[in-house]
Amino acid sequence: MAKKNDILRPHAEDLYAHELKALKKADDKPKPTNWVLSPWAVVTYLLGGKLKDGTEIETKYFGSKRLIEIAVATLATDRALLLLGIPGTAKTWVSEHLAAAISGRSTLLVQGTAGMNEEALRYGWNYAHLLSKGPSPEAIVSSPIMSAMENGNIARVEELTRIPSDVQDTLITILSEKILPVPELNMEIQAKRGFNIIATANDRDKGVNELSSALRRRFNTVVLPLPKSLEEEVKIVQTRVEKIGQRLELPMENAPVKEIQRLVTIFRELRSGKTSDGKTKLKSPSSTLSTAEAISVISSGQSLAVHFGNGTISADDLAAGITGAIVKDPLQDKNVWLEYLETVVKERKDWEDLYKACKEML
Amino acid sequence: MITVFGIRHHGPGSAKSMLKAIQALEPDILLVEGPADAQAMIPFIGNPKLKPPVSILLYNPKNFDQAVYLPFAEFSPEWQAIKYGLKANIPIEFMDLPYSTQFALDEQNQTDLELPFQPKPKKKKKRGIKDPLGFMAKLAGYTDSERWWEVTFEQHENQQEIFDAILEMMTALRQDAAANGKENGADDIEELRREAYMRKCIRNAEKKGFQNIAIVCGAWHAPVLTDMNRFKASRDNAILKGMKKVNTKSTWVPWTYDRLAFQSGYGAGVTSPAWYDLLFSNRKNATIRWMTKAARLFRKEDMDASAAHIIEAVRLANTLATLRGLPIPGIEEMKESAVSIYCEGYEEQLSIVIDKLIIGDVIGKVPPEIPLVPIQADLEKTIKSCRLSKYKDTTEDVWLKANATNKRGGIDLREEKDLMKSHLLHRLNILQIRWGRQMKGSQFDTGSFKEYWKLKWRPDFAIKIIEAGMWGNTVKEAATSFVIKSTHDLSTLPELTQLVERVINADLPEAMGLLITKLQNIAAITKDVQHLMDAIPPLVNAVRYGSTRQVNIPALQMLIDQMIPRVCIGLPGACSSLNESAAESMFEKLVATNRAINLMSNPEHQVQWFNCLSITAESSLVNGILKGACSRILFDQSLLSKEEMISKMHFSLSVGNKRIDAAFWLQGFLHGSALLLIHNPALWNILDGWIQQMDWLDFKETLPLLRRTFADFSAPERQKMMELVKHKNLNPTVTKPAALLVENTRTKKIEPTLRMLLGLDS
Repeated sequence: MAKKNDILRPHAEDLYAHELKALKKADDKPKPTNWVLSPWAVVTYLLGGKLKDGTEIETKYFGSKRLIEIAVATLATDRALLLLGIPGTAKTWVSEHLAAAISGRSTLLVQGTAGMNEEALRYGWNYAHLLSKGPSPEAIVSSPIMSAMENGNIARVEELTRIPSDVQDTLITILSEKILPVPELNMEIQAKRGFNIIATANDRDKGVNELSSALRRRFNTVVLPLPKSLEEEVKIVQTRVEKIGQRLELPMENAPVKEIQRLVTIFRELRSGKTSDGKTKLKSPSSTLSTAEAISVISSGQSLAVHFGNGTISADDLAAGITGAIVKDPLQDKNVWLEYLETVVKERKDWEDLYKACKEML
Repeated sequence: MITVFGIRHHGPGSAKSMLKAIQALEPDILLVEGPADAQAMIPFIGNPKLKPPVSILLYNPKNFDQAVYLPFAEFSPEWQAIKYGLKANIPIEFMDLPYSTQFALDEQNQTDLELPFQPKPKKKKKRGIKDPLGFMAKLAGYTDSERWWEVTFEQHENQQEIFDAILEMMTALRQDAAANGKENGADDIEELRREAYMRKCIRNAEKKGFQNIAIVCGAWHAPVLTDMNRFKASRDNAILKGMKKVNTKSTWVPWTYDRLAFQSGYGAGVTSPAWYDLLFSNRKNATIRWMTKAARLFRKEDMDASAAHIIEAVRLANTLATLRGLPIPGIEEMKESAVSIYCEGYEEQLSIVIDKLIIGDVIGKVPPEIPLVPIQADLEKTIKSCRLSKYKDTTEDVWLKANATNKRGGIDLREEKDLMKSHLLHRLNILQIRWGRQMKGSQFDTGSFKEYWKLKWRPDFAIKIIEAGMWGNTVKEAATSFVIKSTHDLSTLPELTQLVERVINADLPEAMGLLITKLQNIAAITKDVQHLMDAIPPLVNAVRYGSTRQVNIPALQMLIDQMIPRVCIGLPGACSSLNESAAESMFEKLVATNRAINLMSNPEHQVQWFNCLSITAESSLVNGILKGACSRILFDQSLLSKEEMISKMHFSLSVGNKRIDAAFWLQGFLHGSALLLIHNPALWNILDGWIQQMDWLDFKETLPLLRRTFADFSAPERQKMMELVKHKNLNPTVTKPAALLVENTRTKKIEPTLRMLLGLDS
């Protein structure tokens, strides 16, 4: 077993174990059965705050409090939660932390893929066992969902809409009857209280498997939006970059606020198709340019700076990342990006370094 | 003993709490915040036929600009208090400063301000209160004061201590204001006066020997009415001394929830009346009812909303409320869970139905027993007798007489009831009460006996109707006097002719005489030929269709007879030296006048008219488009022979003319129809030749104009021309009809009828 500090990306419940512990201690509100924390404490865990005993709870989700409240309230009823949004709007992030706060574990995860079969959602068989001893409950290899049902935990299904429709439908019985039939053994698994599912899906991709209305009806939907203001987005990027920097052991001074601001400005302007002062109309590239991408551009820039530069992140370190994030389609996006560079970046004061660095990349 | 209930205007929670508290108190007199001069309106609240939302309309009968509405909903605390008082049979008094003094003050200020030739300054008519609760809410961290109130008070039921708490809070607020140098912490002199008057009323009640006085007023006023000993009667009297008064009148008028939401007599706005209604009438099941209503509305919009959806939505709203520490879900929780469940997370979908859910489309009712101004009574009666009542009971914008198959409805003026409807709507429009807007029918509907209307009743018509009362005691009388007055004020021909049309539509024969006289006088001195031309088509229409409307036709006919010669004399001059856009507007008038004159088919006029057209067509000063149009009219009337026409066209399109002029001529000449070209190979040839001899640059220059001309033609016409161009077949072979077997004896039989139909005998 790897030592804790060796882990590249620890689970939320491990990374924030102290916060969860403090919240549990401070929590005097009623808890639904098998929940580790009360709904109030879950909301506090996600949105951050300061507890009475002085423990600082970090903000995990910067955004509307309402949305998180709806999400938590949904899970407190027996309805499943569907988080929708374009890529990079913290869907997975939110679902991981919700699961960690509610069940104490975020690891019951099914990653939806196009080639998935029903077994991934239900159960498989240990064939050696099956052949030697015949069908028995011991021969069953349970899926994360089945384990969640047995223990009254939250299970997560990532990228629900990438799962083929016929496999998706397996979820209907699980969500409405809260049972998982095992016809081979003429038995069924009944879910314990506290079981629920958080699914995520993005509404940008084309060619996804649209949910059937029967399944859709079993979910309450929360749409996670892109950050509202520049300040909010800068703050998200800054916080996340600092965290990632720590984890990747990058010896950094504080997160480079100035670069983050420039980057987020570029992303927001291209996304909305106009400059932040609203005076110039711009073309939008095909890439999503989400906050998550901004975070990865900054942290890869940081690592460039540390390993190949003088340790301080500069325009040169960012240029490659920015260009990669924006130019997804080599023809159209490149033109969009060039146009933006020539009309907007070139004209901005103090942006010459960025302009030069980006031009070199193209 | 004085007990003050500081309420929130239109707050369902405070209405409930107040009612409970007041029932326990059993006062012997009830004082309610409301203008004292509306006192006479109180007893009507006991009438079960007076259904809220309704509003007291208080106005100055001498100046209708001065009017206020004081709306009440079922859930208004004042309404509930008065209802209780009437039931308990105790005296009830409005104790606020009468509007008679307010109006008098306004008038005074106005005369001070008013300068001649300046538009009247729009004045504040309502008593505003600054939102003291908004301030408290902000302190508590709420952006919306209503929400704060809801959370703090309205959702806690049955707690009479609420009023003590409110009193304490408001006292602190007013002390703050007082510390800033404001007397009694009142915002302005007006508020000072109002509160002085309220205290005066309370003292009066005490003097009369009432022991147990209950006071229902806005929370803001509570502190200065509670501790009466703090205020000296002499000081209050001094504040009120010497205030002038004007006479005011008041009545009840129906009100609607959407108006309650946007404006109300007091500052405390109500943003969600339908929700408040539910909270008040069925608090226990409010969430369920709201969600069910939402589901039904969504279903109407073809969205999935099953009973299972409702169950889930209610559960989510309840859980959200619990999570936020609320006893029951508020409007925000409801909206959020509706978005999540019904709209799959997208707020845009909720906006389709949100108004109906939150504001509601309820409209109040006022029974006929309540005193109305005579004109109001007349209007009610007319509306009933021409069967328009159902359109008055809704606030929606609806087509008159619409049904499932005929979405635009439409009325038939040959039917008595429909004619009455049309008259009424036209009359109201004349009186500026725009209940109905006359719409165009479908394009296939060219009959003159159909009218299409869209109706939308607005409760604030009430004051306009009363205002119209100064013109007469019935709608017809008022409209007539109004027209007579406007006739005196108007001085240009177009305005007057427009009025003629409206008067004819509204059937006001008494007004017609004066109008015609005035028209004659103005027409005689009008120098502008264009104005005369504008006047002719509507007048001709009036003469043509006037018979269905009982209009004095001979007088109108005479007027037209005088106007046409004047137009004919002035036309060639009026058409000279016009620039492009002026020529185009003249072109339209020319065509319209021509149509009108031909409709009249008075040979004398026609001769004059065509003479003047041929002069115009020859003039070198006249723009091509007008010359072309004149030539065309003359040719259509066979006043130009084909040969003459050919030479004229040749002349107009010949090289000596500027291309652009030639193109304009063509536009005027071909207006409306291309058949002329198709059936006259000679004309076609000229046009063809003209276009062929153009060089590329000229062609490019004239192309837009030609396009404009040819685009107006119908598709089959253009098709036909295409063929002509393609096949160069300028003499389309006419297939000779095969020799018909005519049976003479039988043909003879239908001949007389045919002759009659074709008018060959006369």
